[in-house]
Amino acid sequence: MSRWVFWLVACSAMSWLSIQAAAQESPASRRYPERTVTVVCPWSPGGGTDRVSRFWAGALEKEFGKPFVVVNRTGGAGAVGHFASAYAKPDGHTIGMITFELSTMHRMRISRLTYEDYECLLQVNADPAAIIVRNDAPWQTLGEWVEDIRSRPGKMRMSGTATGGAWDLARAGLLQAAGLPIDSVVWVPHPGAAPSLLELMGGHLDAVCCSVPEVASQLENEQVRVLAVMAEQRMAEYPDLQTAKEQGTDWVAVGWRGLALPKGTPSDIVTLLADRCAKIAASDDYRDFMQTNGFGIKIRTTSEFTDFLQEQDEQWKSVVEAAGYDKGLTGNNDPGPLALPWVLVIGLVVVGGWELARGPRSADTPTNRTRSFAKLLPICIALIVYVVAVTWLGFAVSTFAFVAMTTWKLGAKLWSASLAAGVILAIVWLLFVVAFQVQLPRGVLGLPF
Amino acid sequence: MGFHSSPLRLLINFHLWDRQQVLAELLTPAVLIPWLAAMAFGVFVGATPGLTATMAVALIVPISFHMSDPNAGLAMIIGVSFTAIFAGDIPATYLRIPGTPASAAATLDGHELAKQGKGGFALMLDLFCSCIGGLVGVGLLMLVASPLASFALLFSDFEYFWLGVLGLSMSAFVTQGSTGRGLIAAMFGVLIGTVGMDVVTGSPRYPILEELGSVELMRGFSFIPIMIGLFGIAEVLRNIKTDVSWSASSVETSVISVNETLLAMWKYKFTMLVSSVIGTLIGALPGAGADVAAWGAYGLAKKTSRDPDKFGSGAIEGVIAPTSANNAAVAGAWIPALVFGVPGDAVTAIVLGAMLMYDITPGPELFQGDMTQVRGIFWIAFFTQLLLLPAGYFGLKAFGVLLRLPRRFVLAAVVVFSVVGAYALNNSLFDVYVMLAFGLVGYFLESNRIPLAPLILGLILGELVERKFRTGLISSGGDFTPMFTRPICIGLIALLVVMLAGGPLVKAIQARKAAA
Repeated sequence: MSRWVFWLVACSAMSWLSIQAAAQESPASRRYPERTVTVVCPWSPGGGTDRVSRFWAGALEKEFGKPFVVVNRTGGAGAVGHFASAYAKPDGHTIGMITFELSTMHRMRISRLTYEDYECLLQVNADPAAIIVRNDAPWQTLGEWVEDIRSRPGKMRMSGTATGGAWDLARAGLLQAAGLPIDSVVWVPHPGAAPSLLELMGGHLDAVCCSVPEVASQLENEQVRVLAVMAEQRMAEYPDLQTAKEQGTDWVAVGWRGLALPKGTPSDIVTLLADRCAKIAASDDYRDFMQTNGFGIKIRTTSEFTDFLQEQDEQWKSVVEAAGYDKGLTGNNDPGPLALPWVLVIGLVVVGGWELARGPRSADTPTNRTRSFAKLLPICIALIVYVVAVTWLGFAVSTFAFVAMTTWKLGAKLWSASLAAGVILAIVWLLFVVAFQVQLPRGVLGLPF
Repeated sequence: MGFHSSPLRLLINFHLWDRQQVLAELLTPAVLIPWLAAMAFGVFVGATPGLTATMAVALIVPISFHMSDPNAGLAMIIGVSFTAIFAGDIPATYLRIPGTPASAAATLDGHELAKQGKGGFALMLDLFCSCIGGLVGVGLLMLVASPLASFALLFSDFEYFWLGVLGLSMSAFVTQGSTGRGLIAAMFGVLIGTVGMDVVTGSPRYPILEELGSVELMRGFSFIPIMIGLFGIAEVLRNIKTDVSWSASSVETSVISVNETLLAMWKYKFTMLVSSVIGTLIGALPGAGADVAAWGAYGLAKKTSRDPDKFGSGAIEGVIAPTSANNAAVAGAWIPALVFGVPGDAVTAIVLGAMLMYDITPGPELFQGDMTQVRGIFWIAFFTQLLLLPAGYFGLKAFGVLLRLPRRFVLAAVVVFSVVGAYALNNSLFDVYVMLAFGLVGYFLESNRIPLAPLILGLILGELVERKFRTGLISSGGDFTPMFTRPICIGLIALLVVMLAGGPLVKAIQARKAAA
């Protein structure tokens, strides 16, 4: 009986897999998208890049009639998310939202990724950097500000992002263009524009470098002023703000966002997606969305976008090198990233040694320990097998098996164990897959989750 | 700064507020139904480990735009942001798995009470205290938003550094037994937090991990999978070790008496109020959040309690303090956000973004003029606290019913939800492995009497302490003096000395007196 079941399952699985394999062979773009498409956003939920990613996922979903889901893969100054999209399976079912950091992170050895690891689809946005000061600050123009720095180098403090982030490099380039050494201003690393602005208003910083939309409400409330925008021309939304160029400092620095596919995606899929994306970019919906959020629209199509990224790569190389960031990001009286771990290791050794010297005070006697170890071993193995099985067999199958088997082992009847497994699966499916659009691991069987 | 006058103005005009009109606008079915539905959703998300308050708010925002009445949309967003934090206490109390990081403190006394069969009582306390904490927070927001926000701005790197150190020193208070083992746990927590990207430079801290080829290790460990593993999986293992009846229900749910709850609250009204105020203050600091607030209030309550030894074994004050503080902190976080238009954390950032969509521009302007907009927001936040009572009651009842199932099913479900919760955060299987590994680590540590609470504190605060110390030094040009001479720093150092040395000193003096 059990052998029958085994062969039945094995044969159906094999035939299913071969159907899947056969299906792979027909021209890809005709059936695209075959399943849910993932849009990888390298920054956290709620931020600007996330909002843009969600707009594009929604618009593409309408265009193709299949789900497009945003997945936030954050961390590593954007490296983790970029890595995830660049090294996804190049079949068009993973689209990457790529940002400014792609042009600089390989120069700073955060990652080896460059634009060449992608098939560039479309640049969707560009926001120039700007120098922001408090409304009661003494400088009225960029020139006055630059002269003040020249007269007392190393005294002024600025922030806007982490060391080596987009806005740090933007201000470094600006200082360079104005003929000042890059370290004539102290860059205090803060996690982003919002915390930097609070420090600016609290008087702990002299100026902030970030994009104009990031200070839109403070600008409207006249808490801050913009000394210069690092753009080619004045921004359409803010025609009063002067550019650095007009004020005699020839420097342009733009934070950009775009869509890209992993290198090696079939060209028919790239063309298909590029066409649809261009259509969305031209729509009123997109214009309205960007306007409401205060983001600047800048569209560059496939080859223009690739050329632009090539230029960016060169432009930032010199700034990164001039700032010395290619040799590492510490300096400026920073005790460095390894100071704290060393303190902790020494502390752990000292306190741990002291505690050991006071004698072991474990809750268990040795015999108790062996007994509890014997009791725990099966469940530990079950847990590890379960977690590994999730990767290979997919979430649904392994969860059903895990719940049914463990509860059955713990004395449940077979029918109630299976029922419980089914109910738990249903709840997970409703809550995580339907409501939260989480893509649970599918595994080799190709079940929906 | 010119906006100091606004709170006064607000206070003076308070009697002019057209309360009846506001009530008539808000308390209509068209607003109340989506509002309560959103709050029920918030309860669900908050009670599920791995689903964060940030995700809940981010998901409700696009839905809220479909509401025809803008009040309904705003009410949904504000409602979710407050309920998710309360709901995190539900699994923390019943199952010892915090639903959100802000609920980690509830795994101490709340869970102990649940083990004694008083889980329902602990959660009723949680619910009412969350409501009071929220009301205090919103009240302070209404009355003293601007001066408080200006005060929060005075905090620079070194002040946050000392605040973080003060928080870390709480690990000495939140543990029972050996201080040395508490210290080991705290240091271990900080050390785990250092894996991944360096917080200041954003470059890999341990290049060797990168050589091992793991982009995931380069990113470091996420907090939530660790938390789920340390508490959830470790608790499952402990259940397996002790012989329990697998067919019995997992938690004895007692009859919940509102009277008893109110009496307990009255008895500890000062703890509740002080915790709420502390929670609001800490929440108003853009560098700290509801999680820090909860631990701060817990430590302070233990320090000032007449019966500190009961903490950790089911003290009612130990339930009241963190839960009052974390809800108050949500309101506190709005203070700098509304006054300066700059959000302090991710949840507030999304709420602010949504307000912009509703044509409300946060900033000092909001507090000037006729204040119709800010008044609407305040009333919505105010009523949200009251609506928390029915929404939260429904949540803890529903959870209680689930727990009446035989224990084997509950434990299997805990494992499954731990796995999904760890995975869902970043869609990463690595996080699931981390969760499982820390489940084993947590079990091992506890069986060696190394407490887990300081480990969580170390994880939460390690980053803050390190980042602020280093950026402070960069900012001051390598000069340590401001660290000890800035006025707020001196205050925080004094507080630290009193908290650490105060107890033993008093004891020593008493001993000497007794000897003499």
